[in-house]
Amino acid sequence: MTSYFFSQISSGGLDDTLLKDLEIYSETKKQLVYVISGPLDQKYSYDYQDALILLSPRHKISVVDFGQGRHKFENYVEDFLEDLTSISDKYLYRSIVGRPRNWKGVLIEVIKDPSKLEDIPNFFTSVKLKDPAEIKKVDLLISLLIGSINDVDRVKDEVPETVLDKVKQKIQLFDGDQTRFVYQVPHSKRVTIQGLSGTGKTELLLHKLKDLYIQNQESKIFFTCHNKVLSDNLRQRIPSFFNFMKVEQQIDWEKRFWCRNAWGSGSYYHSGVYSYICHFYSIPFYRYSSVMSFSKACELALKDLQEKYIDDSPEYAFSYIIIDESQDFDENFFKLCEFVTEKNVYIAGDIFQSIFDQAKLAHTIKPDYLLGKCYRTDPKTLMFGHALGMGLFEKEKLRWLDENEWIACGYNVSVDARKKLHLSREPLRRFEDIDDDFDSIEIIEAKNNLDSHIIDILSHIVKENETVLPEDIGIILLDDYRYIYDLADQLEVSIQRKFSWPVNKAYETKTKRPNQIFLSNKNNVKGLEFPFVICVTIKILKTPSYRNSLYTMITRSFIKTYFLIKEDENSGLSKEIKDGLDHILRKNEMVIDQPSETEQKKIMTRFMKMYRDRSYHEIMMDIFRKKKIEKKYHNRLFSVAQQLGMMGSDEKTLTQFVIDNLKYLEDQNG
Amino acid sequence: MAKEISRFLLPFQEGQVFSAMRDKIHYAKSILYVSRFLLLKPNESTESSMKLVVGKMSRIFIFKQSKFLSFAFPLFVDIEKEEVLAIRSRWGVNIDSEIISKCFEILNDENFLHNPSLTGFYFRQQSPNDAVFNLLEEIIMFEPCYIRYDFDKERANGRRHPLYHLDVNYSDYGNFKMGLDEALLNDNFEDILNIETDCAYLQDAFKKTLRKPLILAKK
Repeated sequence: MTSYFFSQISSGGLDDTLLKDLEIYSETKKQLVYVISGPLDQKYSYDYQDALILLSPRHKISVVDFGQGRHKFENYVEDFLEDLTSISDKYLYRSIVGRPRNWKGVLIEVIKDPSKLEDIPNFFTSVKLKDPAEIKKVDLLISLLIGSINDVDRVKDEVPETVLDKVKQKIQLFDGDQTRFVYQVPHSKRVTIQGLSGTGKTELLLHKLKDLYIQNQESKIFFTCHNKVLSDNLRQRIPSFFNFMKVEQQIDWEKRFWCRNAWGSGSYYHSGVYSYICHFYSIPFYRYSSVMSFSKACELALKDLQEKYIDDSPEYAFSYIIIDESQDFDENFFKLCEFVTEKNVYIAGDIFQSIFDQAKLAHTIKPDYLLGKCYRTDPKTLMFGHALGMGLFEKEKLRWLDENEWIACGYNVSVDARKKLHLSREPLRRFEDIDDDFDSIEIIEAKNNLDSHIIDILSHIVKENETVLPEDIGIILLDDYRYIYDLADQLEVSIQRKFSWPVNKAYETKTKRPNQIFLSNKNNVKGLEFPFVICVTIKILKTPSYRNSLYTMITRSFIKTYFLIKEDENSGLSKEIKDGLDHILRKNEMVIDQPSETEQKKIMTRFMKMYRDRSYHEIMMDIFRKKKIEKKYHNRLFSVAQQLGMMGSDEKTLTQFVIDNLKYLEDQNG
Repeated sequence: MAKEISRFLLPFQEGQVFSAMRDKIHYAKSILYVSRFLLLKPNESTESSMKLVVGKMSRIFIFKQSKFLSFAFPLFVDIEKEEVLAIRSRWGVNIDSEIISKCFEILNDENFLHNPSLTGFYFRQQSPNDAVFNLLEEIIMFEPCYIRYDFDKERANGRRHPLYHLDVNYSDYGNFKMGLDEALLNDNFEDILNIETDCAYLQDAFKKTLRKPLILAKK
C-alpha cells in the first residue's frame, strides 16, 4: 500500500472501487489521503456505519454518507463535529482554529450524495482551500483526527513568513505507513520497523509507547537504545511528550516504565535493560572488557535463563520492550528481549546504517513496517548524503545496492537508454512551502582556517534568517584527529565574541541544551536534528565507518547543511562529486554510472575487506598478543600512542612504537 | 625570578572561573578552564583578566573589575615570551584541549556527581583513559589555597561583614573573613599573597585579640 494513503475502513458495505480509486489518486497526485470513520486516536464509536470521512491536507474535511441514512447521518455528522471540537479543546487548539461555528461552514463539507465522488479529481478540486489561514486550520484538524498531534507552541497561530519559520512551524502529519504502524495490531511477538534516519521512527515509537502505556495499566515497558546520550535525551523527552499528548496517568518510573540504555551498570540495576534482567532473574552481570562484548553478555544471559527455566515457563520481566536504533545491536540482544517479554518487542532501526554493516544485512530484509520517506531532511540533502556515504560519484564506489535495496531506501529507480541509473525521491510536505531554487546543501572549500569559515557561515545563516536561535544550529566535527578539540575551543571563543552565543560542547555535556549552539564530534549527535548543520572535515576518507558518519551527519539538518572541507587536491572532493551535487540541486535526481557485474563484485570484495580491516584498537591488541606484553602496560601504551597521534599508523610502526616505549614503562616499574 | 603570564577574559570565560568556589570539583573545573585559556590564542583587551604567577608559589589570579580571587595552580607551564608552549602535570600528563574536554566529560557526568569517587567511576567505565583519571586525581589532591577579595555594599554589616574583606578558604566549616579598612587594588592583592615580598600584618587583630591572653585561665 502506498505511503500516501491510509484507510481505516474495510471495504464491507462500501464500494470497494472507491477505496482503490482513492488510493491510486493519492499515489499519482502524491497527495496524502485518509479515509476514516471517526477520530483514530480516540475510542469514539458511532451508531451509524454507512458514512466515511475523507481527509486530505489543504482540502476541506468531507463527511460522506453512502447509505442514505438521512436522519441517522445527520446525527453522525453532529456527533463527529462534537468529538472533533472536544479533541481540539483538549489539545488547546481552540486558540488557533477558533470556535466550531467559525470553521464548521468553511472547513467541513457534508456530502449526502456519494456520486459526487465518482470523479475524484473533480471532487478534490471542489473542496480545495486557497486561503493560507484556512489551510493551516484544516491541516491542524486533520492532525487531530489521525492523532499526529502538533505542539501548539511550535506551529503558532500566525501564518509563518520566513523559510525557517515555515519549516519549523509546518504541521506534521503521519503518512499512511506511519499511521498503520501506530494503529495496527501486530501479528507476531517481534515487530520490526526499518527506515532511514529521519523517517520519524523515534516519534512513532513514542506514540506506540503512549498507546501501550494507557491501554493496560499493569503493563511494564522498557524503552531502550545503545547510546546513553540518546537514552538520556529520550528519558527527558518522554514526560513532556506524555503531557503534550494529554496522558492523564503519571509515569511510574522504574516500576512500570524505564527509559535507559541497553547495558546499564552493575551498581544500579535500573540503569539498563540488561542490568535489570540480571537483577530480576538473579543471573550474573558482566561488565565490558576486551573479552566481553554486549552481544556476548546477552548470549550468556540468555543461556543462563534457558537453563534456569528449562522445565517451566519464565516469569516475564516486561510486557513490552521498545528498541530504538536497533542497528547498534545484534540478534543476541533481540533474543534475550523476546525471552523476557510477555507481549511484543518493537525493534526500530535504520536500514541504511545496516546496509553499511555487512554482518547485519540479513535483518534488513522484509521488516514488518518499512518507512521509506525521510521527513527530517530535504530529499536533495539526503541524496547527497547517500552519494557521499556510498561513494556513488567516485571512480571506486564503496557500496552498491540492488534495485530492491534502493527502493527500500525510498528511491524511485529508472534506467535510461545509456544504461545510466536515475535515482530520485518523492517531494516532502514539510518542505512544500520552500522555493524550488533553495539549495538545501552547499559545499564550501576552506582556503583559510576552518574557524573563520565557520564564523562566516554562521554570519550568513543569521543574515538570511533573522529569527534564527543558537539552538537551531549544530556544528559537527567529523574527524577523529586531535585538532578538532583545538578547533572547538577556538570556535567557542570566536562565536562568543561575534554573536555572544553560549556554546554547548556536547562531547563534554552529553546533552542538547536550549539557547546554546550545539558543537560536537561525531559521537554525540544520534537522534538529534537541527534546522542548520555545519559539517566539518579535512579529508573525505574511504573507510566505511567514516562514510557512515558522513552520511549520518550531513542528513541531520532540516533546512540546510553546509559541508565545509579543507581545500586540498587530496581532500577527496572530486569534480565528479561537485557535478553530482549540482545535478541533484538542479534536477532533483542522481544519475549514476551503473557498475558492471564484475565491478559490482569488486565493490563488494573491497567493502568486505575494508569492513574487516582492523581498527587501531584491534591492531594494538594483536601486537600485545604477539609481543606478549603484560596487561598492566596496555592502558599506558594506548594512551601514550593516542597522545602522540599514532592512531592512523600501520602495524609495523606501532609494533616498533610499543617496543620502544615498553622499555621506559618497565624501567618505571623497576 | 617569578614568571608571569596574563590573559584577558571574555565575559563567558569570566563567568566560568569567577564564581565563589564551593568544592573540589569546582576547583578542578577552574583549573581546567584556566589551562584552556592559557592554551588558546590571547584575547584582545577586555574588562576582566587572569594572571598566572609562578615562582616559589604557583597561583592564578582572576581580576573581575575591582573584585579578585586567587587559587593555587597545580600544573607546570612552559612559558616563552608570553606564549604557553606546553602544560604538564607533576605526574607527566600532557594537558591539551582533548584531555581537558575528557576531564569535563567526567566532571559533568551525572553518575559521577551522584557518587563523586574517581576510583569508583574509573571501574564503571567501559574503557577508561588513564591519563584523564590521573590528571583529575592529581588536581583534586592538591590544596586549592583559595582566597577572594570582595566588597559588598548590600550585605555589609559593621565588623561582622566588613564592606571590604578577604574570604579565606571555601568550605562552610573552615572559611572566614578578614576585614580591611580600605579597598584593595590588584597589586595589593597580589602582594599580600606573594611569598617573595614582605608579609602583610594583621595589626588590628593583634590589638583586639592577641593583647588579651589566649590561654584560658585556670581557676
